[in-house]
Amino acid sequence: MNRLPNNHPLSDWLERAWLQRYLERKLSESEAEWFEMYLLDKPHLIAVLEADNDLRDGLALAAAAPSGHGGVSPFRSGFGGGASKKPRGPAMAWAASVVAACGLGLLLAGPLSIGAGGQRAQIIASPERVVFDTLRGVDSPPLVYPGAAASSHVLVDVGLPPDAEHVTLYLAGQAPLALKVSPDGFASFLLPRAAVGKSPAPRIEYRRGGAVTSRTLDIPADH
Amino acid sequence: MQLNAQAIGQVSVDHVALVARIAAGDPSAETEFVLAFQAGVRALVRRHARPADPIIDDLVQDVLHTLITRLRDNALHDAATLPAYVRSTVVFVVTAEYRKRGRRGENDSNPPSPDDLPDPDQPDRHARREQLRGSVHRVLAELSVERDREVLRRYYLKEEDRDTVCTALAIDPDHFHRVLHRARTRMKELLLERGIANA
Repeated sequence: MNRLPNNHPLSDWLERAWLQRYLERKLSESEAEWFEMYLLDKPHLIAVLEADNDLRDGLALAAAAPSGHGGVSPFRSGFGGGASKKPRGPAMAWAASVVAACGLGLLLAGPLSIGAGGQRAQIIASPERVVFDTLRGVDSPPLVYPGAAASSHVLVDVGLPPDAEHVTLYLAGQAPLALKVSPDGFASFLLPRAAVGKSPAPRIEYRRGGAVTSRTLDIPADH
Repeated sequence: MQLNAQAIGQVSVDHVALVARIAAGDPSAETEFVLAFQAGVRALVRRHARPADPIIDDLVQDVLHTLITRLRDNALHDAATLPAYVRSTVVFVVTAEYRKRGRRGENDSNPPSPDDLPDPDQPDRHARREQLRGSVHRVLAELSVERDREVLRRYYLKEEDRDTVCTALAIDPDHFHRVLHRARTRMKELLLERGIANA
C-alpha cells in the first residue's frame, strides 16, 4: 500500500468519509497509514487535521494549566499521539474504498429507494454532485462536480445553518423524507438522474429558531 | 464548502519529476518539495507527537532536513513512493524523539508538562500556546451544555473512543460528530481571528 493514486483523488464525499473515520481513530493501522500518505499534499484535508490538532493541543494546555479545566494531565501514562497508536475500532478493509462507499452510499440512497418502491439501494460509486452552499447565498447557482458518465444518480448536498432541525425533503410524487445533517452541516440525498429537471423541483424544509424555512433546489438538468 | 472547492482545484505534484530534479541538484526543486509537503509534514508530526509538545517545530525541521538530504543522495529508488517515504520519515523522527526522551528518563511514567519542556528563546511558541489555551477556554465556555464539554475532554484528553463516549454520556453518534465538528470549526475561527492559524 505504498503507492498512491495521486492522479486519481477520491471523490469529495468519499474523502470526507475517510477523513471522519481517520479523525475518530476508526481506521485500522494500515488504513490510517494509507490515508496519511494520501492527505500529505492536500491542503483542504491538512486544514481539517490541523484544526483537530489545535483543539487537542488547546485542551491539553488548558488541562495542564493551574487554572485549567478538570486538571487532567495531558501527559498521563500512555498518552502518546492518537495516530501512532493501534486503533481500537474494528478494522475497515481498504478494498479500494468500497466499504466506506457502501456505507455512505446506502445511507444516502436508502430513503430514496424506499420512497421509489422499496427497491434495494444501489451503490453509486461516483455520482455527479450538485452542491447548494449557504456560504454562496441562497440565490446563487449550485456548484456542479461531474461524476462518472454512467452514473444513474446525482448526489445533492445542501448546506444548512448550524441550528437547522427537522430537515425534510419533498420530491414530486413521493412521501416527505427526513434527512440527516452531516457533522459539517450538509443534508445529502441521491436523486435519480431521470428526475432532474422535472417539475416541481425538489424542495427542502427545515426548522430554525421556531420558524420553518423552505428552499427550492433548482438542479441544472444539462450538467 | 471550501473543502470541496479546494479539492476540485488542487494540483497534484509530479513526484517522480520532483525527486529526479532534487537528485540532480536542482535547488528550486528542493524549494518546491518543501512548499508541497511542509504543511502536511507539520500536521502529521503534531498528530503523532504528544499534544502541545513545544518541540514540534524542531521535529518538522528534522523531518524535512532528513528527507532533502536523502533525496539529494538519490536514496529513494521508486519515486512514486514519495508520500510513503515522507510519512514514514515523520513517524521515524517522532518515535526517535520519544525514545530518546525515554532513555533520559522523560518517559510516559514520569512525563513533564508541556510548559516544563525546553523552549529556549521562543516567545512565539509561548504566545501560540497561550493563544491555543485561550481559544479552547472560549470554545468550552461557548458550549452551553456541560455534557458537550465532557465529550471533548473524554475524547481528546482521556482518548476514549466515540462509542465509549456516546455510551457513557447517553448521546447518539450524530450528536458526538456535531460537537466535535463545531468545536473544531470554532477553534479554527478563533485562531484565525488571532492570526495564528492558516486560512
